[in-house]
Amino acid sequence: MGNLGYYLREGFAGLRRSGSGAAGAVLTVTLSLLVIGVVLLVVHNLLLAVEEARAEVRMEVYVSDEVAAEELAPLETRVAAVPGVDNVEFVSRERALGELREMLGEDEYLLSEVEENPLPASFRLTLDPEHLSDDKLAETAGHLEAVPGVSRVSYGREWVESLTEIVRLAGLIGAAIGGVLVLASILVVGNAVALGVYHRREEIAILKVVGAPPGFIRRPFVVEGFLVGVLGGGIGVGLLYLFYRLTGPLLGAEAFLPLEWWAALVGVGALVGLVGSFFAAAKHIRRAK
Amino acid sequence: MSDIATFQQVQKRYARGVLALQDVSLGVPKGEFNFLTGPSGAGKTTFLRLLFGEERPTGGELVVLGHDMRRLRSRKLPGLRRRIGVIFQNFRLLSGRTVEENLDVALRVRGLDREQRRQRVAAILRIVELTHRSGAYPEELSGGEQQRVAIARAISGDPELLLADEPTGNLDPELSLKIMNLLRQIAARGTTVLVATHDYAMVRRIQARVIHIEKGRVVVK
Repeated sequence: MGNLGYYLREGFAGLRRSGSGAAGAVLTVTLSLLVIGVVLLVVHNLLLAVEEARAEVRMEVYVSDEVAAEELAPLETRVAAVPGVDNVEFVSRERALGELREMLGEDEYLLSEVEENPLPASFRLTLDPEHLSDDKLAETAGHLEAVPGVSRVSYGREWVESLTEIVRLAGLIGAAIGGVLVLASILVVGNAVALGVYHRREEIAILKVVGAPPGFIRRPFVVEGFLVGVLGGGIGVGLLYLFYRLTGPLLGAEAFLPLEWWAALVGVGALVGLVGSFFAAAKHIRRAK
Repeated sequence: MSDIATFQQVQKRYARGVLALQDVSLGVPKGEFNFLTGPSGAGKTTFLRLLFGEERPTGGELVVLGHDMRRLRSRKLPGLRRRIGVIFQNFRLLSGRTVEENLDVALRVRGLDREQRRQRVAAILRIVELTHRSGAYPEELSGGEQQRVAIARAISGDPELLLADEPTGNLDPELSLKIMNLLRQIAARGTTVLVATHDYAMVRRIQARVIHIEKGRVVVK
């Protein structure tokens, strides 16, 4: 591998020598990545928002009217023992009424006609994070309803299940748009890299005349293509971060892409640059005879 | 077998039907200085391109350094090219690389290590009298200097056959003579040299074997 240093040096030097050709390829990678990155950023933040909303889910376990005051403590123990239940908070009938009053605000007068507190007491539960999926929620609710002394369980099932639907749709749309963009980018970047190689076909022809084997001619171009991908990807991620910092607060975005996501984007850019330059160089090596 | 290349009824027809060379039969003897003359378009360049495998014959038999050029596998071509030096009228140096780097890459291709390359580059630069320009880029050199770099590159690998296509075509008469003398010196060291030219004044001045091509046919003088 005496030539490894040469391939790397030439790869870097090639970047410098290609000038506008390499700059065009780098810019193409940057822009492609920026567009894909924005889509991913939107999807990622949407998913985060949904996850947060789901974490806010509380389960209300209503106590049957027949349960006597002294039976409340054992009932709370039984409720707390149901799998998935994290924290149990008792809400007395008085407190429930107070909360309702507060909620009604100016419309509190509606309660003035009510003589007796119509609200049942309840246990307000938070759940373990792994019990927040649609299935688990329904299952836990079922278990709780089976506990003697419990009249009803409510947790806004439809609302929670609509969150799942949002996630599914966002994932689907994100994957479709992202997929098309990635595919288009691969073609565009591949072409930009190939164009850079095309501009230097004379160099390839000269090296062939001197008796350089194909691999020797190709490798610096492959290194260069890889560098184009990494450089374009790096700049793209940088710009994406800038975009996120500038527009995120306005749009309610709370998180940048996780490391694995944007590292994968740069990785794809580098891979496309590498493969694109490999084939472009191979083509011109063949053509140059 | 003292011929470095043998042509037997070689024919070259290009894809569009143009017959560039026909019925060429001759041997190129080892270690000689030869001129390849003829008017523009007569087939001189094709003749040279056949010799270094840039084109393949479409008829007859051509053997170069022991290789049958009609059947030569393309992966064998780089190996053959490393035994042949080629000089072009337009020099064809690698732009963006210094004189030294232009020579270095040709030697690297031949598998020489760093120290061998350094010594060889220094020696070759002395031969072409360009030691003081080793760090210059081709764009910074005069035509004559560029051509000497091209010659240096072509002879750096100690080739058995040196081909030059109008090497003085872009140079003034005085420089041309200097270049031609350099090529003759190289031939005197045992390398077979073949110089295509239409500079008949030059051909008359220098005692050498002349291969004359006219309308794709060869007349050896």
